[in-house]
Amino acid sequence: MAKGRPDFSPTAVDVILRPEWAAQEGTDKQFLAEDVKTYRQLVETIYTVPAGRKLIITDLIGRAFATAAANADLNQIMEITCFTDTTELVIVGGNGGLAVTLSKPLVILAGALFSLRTYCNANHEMNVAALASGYEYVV
Amino acid sequence: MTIVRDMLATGDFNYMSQQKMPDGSLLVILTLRGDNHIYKLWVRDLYQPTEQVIKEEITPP
Repeated sequence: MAKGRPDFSPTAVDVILRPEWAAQEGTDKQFLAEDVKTYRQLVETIYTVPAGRKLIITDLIGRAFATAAANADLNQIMEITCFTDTTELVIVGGNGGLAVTLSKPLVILAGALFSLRTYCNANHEMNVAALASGYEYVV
Repeated sequence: MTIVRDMLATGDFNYMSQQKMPDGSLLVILTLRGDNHIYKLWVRDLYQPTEQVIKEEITPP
């Protein structure tokens, strides 16, 4: 094999069914919570991790903008909170948006309820959105 | 269990978003990479003992 080139061979390609692949590599997961809200109102997306699986959240991305043009230059303060059942896992905030790669990913075990919440923390109406991404695999 | 509720229960999706409806129900939207269908589920009291699936809709690509 030449240096820097993968050692691919046409006869070495495997066809793997989705469940088998998920069991080995995990399934990509993205959760979105988005809506128009006013001060301290929240948008929530919830998900219960299936039996025999484990959910790992690695990244959080948020975005907020004023719904009225007159408020577009004000602070667009938002917050993302992740819960599992009643335990707060992480709280992050930003002005206009944020993007966080979690150096210690969130781990949500089978049967637990994962809750992704995003709050409007500005004193005007905003469209707020939070995206949590990661993967889920069979344990 | 309906098709979309079953997808939610087994985790057989890649993307999920949820929207609260004016009538208090919850719209759950699921997609699966490479499948290109949009799976929608209207449900009340999701994950609660009183959970009730109202309807579901599968939009082909």
